[in-house]
Amino acid sequence: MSGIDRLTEEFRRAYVVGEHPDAGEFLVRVPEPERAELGRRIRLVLADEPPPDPAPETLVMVRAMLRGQPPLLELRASKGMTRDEVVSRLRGELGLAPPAEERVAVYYHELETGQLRLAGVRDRVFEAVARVMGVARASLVLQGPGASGASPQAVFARAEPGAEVALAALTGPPGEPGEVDDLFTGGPG
Amino acid sequence: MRKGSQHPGRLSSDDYDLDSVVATYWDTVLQWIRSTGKVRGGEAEEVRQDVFVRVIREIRAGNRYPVPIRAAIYQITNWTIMGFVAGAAGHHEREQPIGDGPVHEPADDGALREIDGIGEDEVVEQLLARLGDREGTLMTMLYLEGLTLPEVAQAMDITGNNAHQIHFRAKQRIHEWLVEGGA
Repeated sequence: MSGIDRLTEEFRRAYVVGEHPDAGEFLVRVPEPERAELGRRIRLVLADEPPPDPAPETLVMVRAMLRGQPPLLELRASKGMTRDEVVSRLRGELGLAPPAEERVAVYYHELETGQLRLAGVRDRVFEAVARVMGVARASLVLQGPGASGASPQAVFARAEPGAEVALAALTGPPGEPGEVDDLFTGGPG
Repeated sequence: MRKGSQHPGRLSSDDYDLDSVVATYWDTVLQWIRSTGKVRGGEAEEVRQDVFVRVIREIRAGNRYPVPIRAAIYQITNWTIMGFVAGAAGHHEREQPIGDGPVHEPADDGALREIDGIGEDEVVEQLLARLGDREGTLMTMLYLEGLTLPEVAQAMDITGNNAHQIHFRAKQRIHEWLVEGGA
């Protein structure tokens, strides 16, 4: 059995039992010239196998999205987590020092309320948010600004009283962007 | 997922629980996008968002396709990836966020006109074009007209086993075309 055959079967087994295998991570496990073929095999698996049932958390986020509400905020609320708690854990997952927490809070607020351009967010952030929220990375339902660049006003109406964030912190001190800025705006990848 | 029937699906608001369709394919569409290696990191999230804006628009509009819903969603995904890649060299108008309100069509955009001009209803035309006459007839009866496979066999005056074989070949052709990118 070739490496591609073995990886395809590994992907299939994980997919059908709902382990949320990451196709991107599988691709980087083979030399670059073989990635197109492995990708094709993975798509064959996706086309052949019925998708596993979605996690309850995915349904919570999808229903919020379809109502025009921020999915991540809805998930956090359903888990009874405060934003401060999430931000603190997120900073830890990202390996950042405590002084970075205020800046993480600003970006997390933007991510949670659909104001942050998703293409700029590093994979590390998606993975860290997923761990903090207790869901698979692929199951996260995130929304960035659409063509208008604006987020729905309803988002702000649902913000927790007293949880306003210091948007002015984004301007920050003059100089080169820091590590936090890079994590949330330096993507892709 | 489908209300009132175990029959393989069609893309229609009459037949589907929208929440369930989106939730079921949410993870899978991201894997499809990432398997192409053409879209990285958070860009894949943006492409996934645009895919589901299109899928939701189609379902809310009640559009119907004579193909399994999975094939329609993957083909919409292929088109969205093509649009994203083509737009990477220039400006590409993004879809509006998903919500309760009407979702507007993206503005026509120069080089992307050809790709964006493809209506999702052409999923059917392109998929069926890959099939032979008997395969196309069987798939139309099965997915558009809602017949069961035994009913299709009777209507086509073929045996049940033959109908299974034609169905299998048709699905294989569609799968092969989809996984190659559906272009």
